[in-house]
Amino acid sequence: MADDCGDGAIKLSLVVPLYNEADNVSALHDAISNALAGLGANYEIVFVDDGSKDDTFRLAADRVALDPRLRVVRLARNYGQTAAMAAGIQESRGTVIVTMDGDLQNDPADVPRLLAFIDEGFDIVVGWRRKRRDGAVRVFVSKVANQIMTHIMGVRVRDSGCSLKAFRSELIKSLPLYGEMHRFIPALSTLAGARLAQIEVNHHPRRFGVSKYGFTRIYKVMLDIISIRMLLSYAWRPFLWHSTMTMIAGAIGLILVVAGFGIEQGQALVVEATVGMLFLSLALFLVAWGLIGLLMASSDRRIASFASLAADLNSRLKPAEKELRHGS
Amino acid sequence: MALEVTESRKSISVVIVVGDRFEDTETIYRSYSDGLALAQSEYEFVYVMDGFKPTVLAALNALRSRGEPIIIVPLPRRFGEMACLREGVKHAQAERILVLPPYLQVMPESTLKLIEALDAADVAVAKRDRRADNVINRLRGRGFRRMARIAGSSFEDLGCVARAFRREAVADFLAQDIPYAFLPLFAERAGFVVAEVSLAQAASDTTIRSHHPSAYFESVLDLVTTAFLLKFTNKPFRFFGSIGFCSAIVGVLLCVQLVVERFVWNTPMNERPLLILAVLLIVLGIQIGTVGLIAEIIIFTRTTAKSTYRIRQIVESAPGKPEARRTGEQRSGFLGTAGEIL
Repeated sequence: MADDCGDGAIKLSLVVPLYNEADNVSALHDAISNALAGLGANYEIVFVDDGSKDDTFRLAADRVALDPRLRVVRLARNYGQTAAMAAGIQESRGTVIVTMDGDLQNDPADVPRLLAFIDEGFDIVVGWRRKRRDGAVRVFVSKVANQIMTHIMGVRVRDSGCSLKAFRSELIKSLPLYGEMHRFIPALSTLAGARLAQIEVNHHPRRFGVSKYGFTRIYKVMLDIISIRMLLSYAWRPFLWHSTMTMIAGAIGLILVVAGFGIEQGQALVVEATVGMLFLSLALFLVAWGLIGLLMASSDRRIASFASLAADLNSRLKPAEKELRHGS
Repeated sequence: MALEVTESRKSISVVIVVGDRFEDTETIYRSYSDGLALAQSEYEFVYVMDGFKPTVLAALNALRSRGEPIIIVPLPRRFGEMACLREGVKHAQAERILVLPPYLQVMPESTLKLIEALDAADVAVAKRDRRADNVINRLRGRGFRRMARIAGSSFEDLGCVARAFRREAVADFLAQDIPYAFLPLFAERAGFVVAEVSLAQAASDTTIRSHHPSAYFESVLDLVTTAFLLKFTNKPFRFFGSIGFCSAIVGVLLCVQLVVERFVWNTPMNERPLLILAVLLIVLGIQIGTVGLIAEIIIFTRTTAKSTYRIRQIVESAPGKPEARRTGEQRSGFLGTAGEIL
């Protein structure tokens, strides 16, 4: 079990974003308290009210008087899950941070198991909802998204959408969290050199409230995956991050221009030459963007440190992370 | 150099930006100051000249010489509304800032309602009661309101200059070149409480108003800028990527059509300008997508967690107390600040 911080320092911070979870908040707090009662380590619970329109904040704040380990962070408006997590993480004081959803679908009883893996030396432990209690469509879409993410990011995360995760504090606090970045934390952390474990966790059907999951989110996540992959490519090679596309466009353009200008004169070849010049202009445009990328990297040292994320991207295309199953 | 009054700290600072449109300076000043006198609070006026305005300057100097609490900030050339507001707030002493136009849009005595609204809000935005307004003005206002919905606005009258701010609510935005008309949207998005207050419209504001065509064009550009900043600041690739994807996919579909026609009906591809359009759309799509990725790189490398939210309150137990509440913790610069990354 987790080693206690004998000096009274907080070992674990459990961060739970809440949005319109008035029906769940009391039961959630009870469940967490019961699950962590036997932990043997100093812990805190950080509820983050993400601009709820119902009584979530009041109900959570009332609980502070009953439980000195509970802290409630109220955001000025609804910012979304990633920002709410970021707020909770930044306000946390524990050396290990565990995040989970506030809809009681994650089981707080799994938290000690996550902590055990952190104590074993892993930097990040990700839950895997093997038996998901969601609708078939949602489960299917989630699996497809995970497959695509695995292929594009080069890190196999079975269930990146599972909010039940444990991190070393210094690791998670160093990651930029914006947009809907929380999905990519395991992959980004692994690329940065963190040791990743994945364990099977319990998943319960939603009892109260409504799901905030919509199909528009799928489209957004797909775009996010592309942008993250491109970011990693850029960090890896600031000038040549789109070199393949540049070379293809340049080659096609050159062939068509030579064909249009060089073979014979005629109306038909005007179209070929024009198309060729369009491809050549694309290649030049991409080279220009590459130079701007190089300029940014040379003028900002932080980008150079970010490059460590992707420096070994290719070597990670075959996942080597340790996967652990329930009860193992 | 600003010409300043040396008095004790005021509780209300009125900032007036004098641009191209203004009415008789002394009349307007008297109207506003008579209205504010009802508040029984100490107040000051900060006039910012957006360029050289000799007649306004002379009138203000005359008022100052008679002991009126006026600060004059003359700018040597035109810098625009937000730059002037920044200078005005810099010279204002009070925590409550009332921004008014150098002409009457609302009844002067009603401006106190904006100040009163700051008891429960960080920003108070006026909406004119336009029942007596000219029909053309009303139609134009309605059109602007509907267009502003693109940027997610639910405000009735973003064209009204009269607004009141708590200093901390406006300070974040002064360094950013965002359109003043849409400032309430940015404040709302950053988590400040924005109240809309209905004020009586001034009689002089109900006559038909004409604007230069460039003003309409600028308004549309401001709207597009605002919509982009509000919706896609944190994820620019979603904006550029969507446009680029649509462009590229149309180009690909046209190419497929050309290929099908080439092999089914034996129509030569290289004699058809449609091929140029198809390739142009693909190239354009890739270029727009690439711009989005560059924007994404900039945001990714410069965003910190703390720049993406604003904490209103933290409730926690404190030593010796069962519960303590910390309020008003500012955690955000709207567009993000430089900070640590991996």
